[in-house]
Amino acid sequence: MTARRALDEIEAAHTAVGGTSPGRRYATQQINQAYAVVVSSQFQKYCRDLHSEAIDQITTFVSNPSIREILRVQLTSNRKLDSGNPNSGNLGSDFGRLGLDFWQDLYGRDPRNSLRRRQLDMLNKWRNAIAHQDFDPAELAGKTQIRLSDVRGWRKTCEALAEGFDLVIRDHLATILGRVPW
Amino acid sequence: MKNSRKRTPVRVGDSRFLHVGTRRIRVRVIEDRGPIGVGGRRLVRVQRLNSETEEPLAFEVPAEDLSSS
Repeated sequence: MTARRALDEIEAAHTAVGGTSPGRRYATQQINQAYAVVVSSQFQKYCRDLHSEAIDQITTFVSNPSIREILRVQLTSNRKLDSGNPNSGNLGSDFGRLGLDFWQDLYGRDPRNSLRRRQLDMLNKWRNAIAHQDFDPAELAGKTQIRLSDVRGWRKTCEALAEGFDLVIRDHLATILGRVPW
Repeated sequence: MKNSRKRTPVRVGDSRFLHVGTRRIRVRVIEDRGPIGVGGRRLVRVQRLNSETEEPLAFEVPAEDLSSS
């Protein structure tokens, strides 16, 4: 199942449970929370795959097989994205191993990525809150419940960031490898 | 040069060998990452075995780099 289809199915479930007319829907809070978690986890998968693909491109350039495997071990071991959330710190740490100033390059490509970064970090705070069932309004911009519109906004943010990440990494690899990787 | 390493399909849970530097180390396949490598080749995540005195180390390699002997 593709990421987009999985997310669209949750949207459909939200409508099926809550309907489309105005008014508060209590059962939909659970769906909103599930939706937020799926958005974050799908984004994590995307980022992890992008990182793996980039490292495979880099290591392929090393002709000596012994050195190639040493490099591969160093670039993929203790990766934050393997076990942690795709927050801006973990992303900067993992992609920074590839030799670029990750977030600065993203800001240079599109200044809106600065706001998107903050939105991404809020999504991940909600992911942790939902996973631990610990809703501290001091951490969650004063809220303890999320709306469908919040999650839709995060989904759009992740889609825009995914596109930006792809371009930044592709251009970085093109610069250091001397060819466009994809 | 003929590649003398045996090649059998790699699955999660398999124990395999990998040449790193001058050593041949034993690893266990802990995750199939799918065809996300260069040219669509399959990547797997492996964990180094026989590391009782160290923290387990997990990293990624192309499935084709693993051997069964």
